[in-house]
Amino acid sequence: MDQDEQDRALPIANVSRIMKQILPPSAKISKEGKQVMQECVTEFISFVTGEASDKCHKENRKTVNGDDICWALSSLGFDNYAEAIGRYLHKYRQAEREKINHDKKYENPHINRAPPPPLLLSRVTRDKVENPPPSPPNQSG
Amino acid sequence: MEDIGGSSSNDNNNNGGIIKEQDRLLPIANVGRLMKRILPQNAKISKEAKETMQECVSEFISFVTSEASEKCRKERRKTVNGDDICWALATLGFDNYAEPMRRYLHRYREVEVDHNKVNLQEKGNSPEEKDDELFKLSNRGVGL
Repeated sequence: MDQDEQDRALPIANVSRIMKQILPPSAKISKEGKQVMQECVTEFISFVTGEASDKCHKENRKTVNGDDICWALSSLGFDNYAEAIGRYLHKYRQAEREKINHDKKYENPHINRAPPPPLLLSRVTRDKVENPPPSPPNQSG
Repeated sequence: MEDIGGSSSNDNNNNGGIIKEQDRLLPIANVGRLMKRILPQNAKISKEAKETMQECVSEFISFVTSEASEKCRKERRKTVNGDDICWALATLGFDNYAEPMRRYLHRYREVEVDHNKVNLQEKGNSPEEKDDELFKLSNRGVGL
């Protein structure tokens, strides 16, 4: 049971930490709030990866790459994610090339690759989403 | 020199600088494992695909949590709970996620109650229903 659950989910501490980064300092998160997000995000990974896998299958390729993930996001309607992730991939590849060039130049195997900057998509996506305001959801109290 | 995204705001950063990667993202091993579970047996995943998914999924958490937080702020509550997450999903258009998550919450609360009872009797409890829920969700092919 424990092993199955561990394999099935992402670590709740990491999920919680990411949630906290977007919340005001005084906010708290209930245990069930963390668990719902944990389940939700696990499913999101499967959903996007499944779409990318179909594309690879049709093209007779075995390796899912970053472009496939971007394509899957766009295909599933996550256009704002696809755009931002596309920019991320571009910078990622630049950073990789710079690392290679730097290593060649100095022959130093200990150079650390600088991580690409965070996306800060939430702000952009929120603004776009709020422009065509979503219809009020049916909510039973 | 670091290029910090389009926005110059540092509100998201706890220490005014870039958050360490290990704190900003979910572990790549776990993300990779989840991706593998949905792929055919002979498929492989490039490192950049895993890192792309890491970024994407962390952003998704922030996006949904931000919406839930706004609701809590308006209602002057300090604790984000499961219902707030479900509400945020529906508000943002993730209706197919919101419905199963509400059912998950319902069963979660049942299991919590059972678990508290069972604790007194020192017995184990099966999470099969949760698996069923996710299984149905995956098979239905969630579409937006």
